[in-house]
Amino acid sequence: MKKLILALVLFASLTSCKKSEKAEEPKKIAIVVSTLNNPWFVFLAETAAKKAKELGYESKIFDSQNNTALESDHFENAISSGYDAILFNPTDAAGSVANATKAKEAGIPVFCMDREINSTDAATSQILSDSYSACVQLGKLFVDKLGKKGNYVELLGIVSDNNTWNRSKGFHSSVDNYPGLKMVAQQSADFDRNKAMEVMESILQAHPDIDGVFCGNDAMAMGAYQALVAANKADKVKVFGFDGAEDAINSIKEGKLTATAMQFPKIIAETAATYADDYFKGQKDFPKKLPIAVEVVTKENIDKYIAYGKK
Amino acid sequence: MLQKIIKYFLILLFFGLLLYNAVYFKKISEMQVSKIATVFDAKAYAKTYLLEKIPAAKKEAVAVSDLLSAMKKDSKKAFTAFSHFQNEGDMKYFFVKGEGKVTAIDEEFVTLKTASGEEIKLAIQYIFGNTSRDCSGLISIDDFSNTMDLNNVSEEINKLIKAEIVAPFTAKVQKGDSITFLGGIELSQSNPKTDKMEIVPLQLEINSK
Repeated sequence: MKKLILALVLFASLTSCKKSEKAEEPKKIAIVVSTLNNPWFVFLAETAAKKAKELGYESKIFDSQNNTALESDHFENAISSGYDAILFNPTDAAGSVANATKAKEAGIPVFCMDREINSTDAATSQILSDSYSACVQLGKLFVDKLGKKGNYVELLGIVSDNNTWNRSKGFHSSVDNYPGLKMVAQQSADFDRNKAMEVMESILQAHPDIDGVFCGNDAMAMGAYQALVAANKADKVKVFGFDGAEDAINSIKEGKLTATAMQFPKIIAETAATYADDYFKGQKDFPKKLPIAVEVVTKENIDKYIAYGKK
Repeated sequence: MLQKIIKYFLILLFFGLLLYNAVYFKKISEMQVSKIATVFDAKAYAKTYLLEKIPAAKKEAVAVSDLLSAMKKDSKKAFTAFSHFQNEGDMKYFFVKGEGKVTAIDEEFVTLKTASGEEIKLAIQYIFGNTSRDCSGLISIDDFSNTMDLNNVSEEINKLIKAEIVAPFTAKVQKGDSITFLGGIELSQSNPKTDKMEIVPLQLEINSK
């Protein structure tokens, strides 16, 4: 009997010790990002980590390498390692829902950054760039710069990502009103600079006479521009990107790219980290989807902007 | 003997558990119905919005003359009082109503002169973007499972405006006609160019002379 009481006392003291240790430990935030092979996402992840640190939390960045299976492993790892929140930049609007749901079922809040998942309840909140509205404006500018006529090429991002189609549809909602503008090729280059260069090179062989290129992100715009330089057509063809990445901003200053759309990854990442902090402090009511405005950047207004944001 | 019975029972139990619910039958029609139910019908949503909700919300629209004078007085206050939006960006939208006499008709616009002397341009050719969707404040992003559905609504509303509002109107309208309208306006908050504003028509009526 004495032994049993002793065992119970020992067990109770051990568990209380463990609880107080847990209470003193800083909360941990996992930052799961679609890819770190693109400076824009590196900036997004590092800004989220910096903000989490400022708020007093530990954080770790996980690179999904645009692979939903790897992303799933990261979620399992984050759940089993006792992370308290996940700041999430998904790889796939539909395929990533299961991962966010898994975390939710484990009691871990998920805050999506920039990219969307097709669910209103798997994530606690989704902080998204309003890509469609920005591309409506970018489309209007494209029409003006090309003088309402000419042949053009569109390079799409990852086809399973909603941003790809929101950007493309916004652009076409403006441009398709002008019959003088003819899209001679539309191909995916997966938001990747090298792939965009290869795709653009092959398109130029089939369609050497083009006046404009619309790209779903800046990395692809830079790749397309390189292909145009190699084909000696860079001065004639107007290239449009999307993101507000450093090399694109510099290229607009130098008159290489015509325009981009400035997303605000700092605002997105900091809002996501702040929401996690609010959640830990007891707030449970968040906007399901929070669209962040995107602004068109050209040579005329470039002085207002720096890479990834405003001056 | 008892051991054999237990053994067979355990084997049966094992396979029973393994196969339970592994195969089941459901009518194809039931599967199709559940699949269709999850597909968002942007066209139907747009139709209800434009042809039912917008006319019902007429009293919520600000008179275009009141908006213009409020803008002249204090544009910041006017944006706070009358604009609607989905994001905190520079572009904001206004739900307006008004009437005027047709002074010009061209490919892109029908121009009106209001009783208080303002010149108003109604867009009849290039109708795109989110003005028609966001001006009224009746549609929220939280009502949609993804932003593609929300953006498809804009496209469908704009198509409907062209087909069901603008086309029958342009077939009849003449210089000198008196017009009543409901519409949407997009203005930049940092640089509101009210002299260049275009109204996206949401409802158009030619009043009898």
